[in-house]
Amino acid sequence: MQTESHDEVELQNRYGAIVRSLSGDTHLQIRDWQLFHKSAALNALAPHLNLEYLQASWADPRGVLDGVAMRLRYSDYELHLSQSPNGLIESLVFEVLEQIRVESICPAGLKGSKQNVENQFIAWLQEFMANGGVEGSIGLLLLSIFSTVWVKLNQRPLPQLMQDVIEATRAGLAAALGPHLVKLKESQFDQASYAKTALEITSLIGSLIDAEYQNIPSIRTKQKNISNTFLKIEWVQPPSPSTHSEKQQNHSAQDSKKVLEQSLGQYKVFNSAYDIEIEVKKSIRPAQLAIYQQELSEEIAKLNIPWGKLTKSYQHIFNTKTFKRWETTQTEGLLDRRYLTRIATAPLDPILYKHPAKKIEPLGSVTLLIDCSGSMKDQRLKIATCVDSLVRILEQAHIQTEVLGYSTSTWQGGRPFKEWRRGGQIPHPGRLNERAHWIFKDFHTHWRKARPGIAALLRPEIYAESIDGEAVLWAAQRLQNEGNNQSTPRKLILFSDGCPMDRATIEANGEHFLKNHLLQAIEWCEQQKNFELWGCGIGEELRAFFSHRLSWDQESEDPSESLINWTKELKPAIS
Amino acid sequence: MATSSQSIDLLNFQPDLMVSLHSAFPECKGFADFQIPAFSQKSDLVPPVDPSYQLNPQASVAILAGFAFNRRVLIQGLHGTGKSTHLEQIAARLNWPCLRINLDGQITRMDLIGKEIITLEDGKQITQFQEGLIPWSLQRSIALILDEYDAGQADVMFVIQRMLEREGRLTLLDQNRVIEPNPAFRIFATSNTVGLGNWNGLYQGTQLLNHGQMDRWDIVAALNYLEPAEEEKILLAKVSELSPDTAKQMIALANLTRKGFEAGDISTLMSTRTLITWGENWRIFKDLQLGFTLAFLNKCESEEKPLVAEYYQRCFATELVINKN
Repeated sequence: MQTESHDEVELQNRYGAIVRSLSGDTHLQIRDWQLFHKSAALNALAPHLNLEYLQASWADPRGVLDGVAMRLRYSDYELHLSQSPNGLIESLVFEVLEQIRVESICPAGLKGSKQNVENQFIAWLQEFMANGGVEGSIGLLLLSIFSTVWVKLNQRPLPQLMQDVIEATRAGLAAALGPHLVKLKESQFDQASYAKTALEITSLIGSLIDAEYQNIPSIRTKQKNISNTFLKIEWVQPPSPSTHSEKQQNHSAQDSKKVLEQSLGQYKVFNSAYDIEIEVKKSIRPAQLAIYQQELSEEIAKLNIPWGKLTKSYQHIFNTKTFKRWETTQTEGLLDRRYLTRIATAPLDPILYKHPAKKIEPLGSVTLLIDCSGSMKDQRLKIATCVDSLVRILEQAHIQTEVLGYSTSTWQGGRPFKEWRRGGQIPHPGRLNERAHWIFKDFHTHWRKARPGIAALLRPEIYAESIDGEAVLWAAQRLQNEGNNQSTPRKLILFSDGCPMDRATIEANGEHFLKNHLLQAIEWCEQQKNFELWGCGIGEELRAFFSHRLSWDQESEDPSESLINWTKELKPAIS
Repeated sequence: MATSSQSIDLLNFQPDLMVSLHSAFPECKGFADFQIPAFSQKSDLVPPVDPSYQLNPQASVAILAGFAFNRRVLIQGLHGTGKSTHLEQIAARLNWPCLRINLDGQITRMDLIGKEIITLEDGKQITQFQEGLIPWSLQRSIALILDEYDAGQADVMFVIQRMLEREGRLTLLDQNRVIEPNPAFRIFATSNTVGLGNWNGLYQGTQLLNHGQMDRWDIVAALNYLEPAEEEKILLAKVSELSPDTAKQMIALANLTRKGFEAGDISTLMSTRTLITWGENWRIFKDLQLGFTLAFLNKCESEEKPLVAEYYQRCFATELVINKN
């Protein structure tokens, strides 16, 4: 399990909320400091809006968020992409010019946003200068263009120091740039015609840069290659329109579901004969199990967990807001004044009472799925205390729980691997290990009876390699088949530290075989109704793929803190 | 109800005017013209006209079709979009008597159909049948508005179902009587969901509507929040001291809360009503922030307040002070 602090999760959620409201697009999210629209990352944003600056001391986080939101709200992303020119610098200039346009047309009602984006743009220019960005001629040229356009569109002056730095370059450009600037200002509110002028400017800059290096061709190519670092601007060229539109087609409605199911179906298992799915406690001697349980109970007793308070908070999260109504025309209960006349009209049939309808239904179901890979072994006590406490709290809050785990029965591929070797090592054999699915507690065992099962998490021998994708699908299907009422919320919480790791399978099928299957499993979960997949402690490599995440602090000794933090993070998720 | 003291007898009160859509409702110029019956006299049940109210052309034309051609119209929209007010304002302009029933979960079949009550006659106790709201209004020239239609209990809904059929007669089982609807009787309903029940968990207490019932509504109109320019007109009409710039900022803030609500980030949103209250509070306290705190911020949950403060900063470029108590 890897650390992702509660504050960081909360901050990203809050920042995401601001971008959603301002841009009006409810599918945006900030995950691991990247902007996501549904499951696609939006990376190609102007350099002053790099989301990593949200944590930088010189930057104005508000300005960054507002800038991103303005861009998404007032600019047509597809149109922009389709017109984006080839070439690193050209596409960068085109992007920044469009960003300056949308920031300049910020409506009067959003006076604060207007200020924020202006502050951030100037702060970025200053930071760029302070880091020596204008020492190279390309940097100076770009800075001059950006600031000249910015001044023209916003009708606002720049700080004096900056004016002095760009003065000479600006004057040199004035004749060539002047007419374009006028056109830009005129078409400020019309993206298509603005883009035309912007493209003229980018080609002007392209030719200027070419001219600059014309005399020394050997340097020219070299400079162009390293211009990214040389510029001190992080810029990734946006995907070319053709690949993008292809992706778009795949994304449309039912198709994406089919494609996903197809690719899930392509996942192969070499030999599933040795796979197991068992209750762990049955494989442990009762005496040993008692020791584990004792250890776990002592650990939990040491913590002061506010059970009552947490139960209430978790109940609040899963409350489906079922409508409490009165059952009228009953023979006993409270008198219902509306039926009083019945005493006279039908004295023999005294059905004039009411009482509140009582019906306790499980308000939701939760599965805790624990990655039992070798790297998790060190933290097993902490995980077990968290799991045991969480299950206790959830069951008190009328939420059904199941605790599952996954690893492999052996290391290095076990029997399927040997068989594959003997059989001549055919290429792409599929998963090669003996998969082990552990059941620590099922839905129908009450927490009190399931405690020995949960304590089995402490057994070091179950920790081996991990095949995550299969486990996620297994747990998700178990969770979906539970109960009759399909409309109650279901949450699957995955406690894991990183990528699937099964050496034998990876060696035989390539590095991405297991990881891709996990990513497909995650996407499959996202498509299910009334279903949420949460990741806890996920490592940096995969963190961004989980749209819902719970914080995990590796250093902290106190699981009760995590339990409290999770109540805040497990809020009803956005669609 | 049956013994209401009114100067005009609604039983024999019929529309005596014909007005054309384009002349009486200039907002609806974009649609084909038709004639709408109207009353020349105002009775007690006609709601007062609010001159600053901005009618939404599409919703208006749907409602007017209901009045003109005796169609059953269901209006659907988020809370605070002014569904009920919209109906009342159209009725007010036509002088059509109007009755609003809030179909909360507590209304029972007996409240609507009628029940036996005990009265004294010649010093003797006798039971007597008192008509409920539905048979009463069915016999009169009344536009019946069923508010929160999707919150009604299932058995209540089936009482209403019979009336939804045009010229549908109502049989009173307790009295062996069949009631013919008055030719100028109209029925409308408003709902937060389109019969899909507790959609997104937003509307606590709403029920799934029987599809047979949904089918009986001839026209289903949607009413969304007003365009900023329209909303500004209303706000300035209600609170004329506000400067247009401030009004724009207030409306921008309201729209941010609406988007936030849609995304599930906050649980309360600002309706046009909240905007007007805010403006009125400002008139009393001469302080925009205090007015906002009293009109909206205190309705929000404490976890949401920092986000609302961010919204406020975006629109007014000043920090909103949140009282931690």
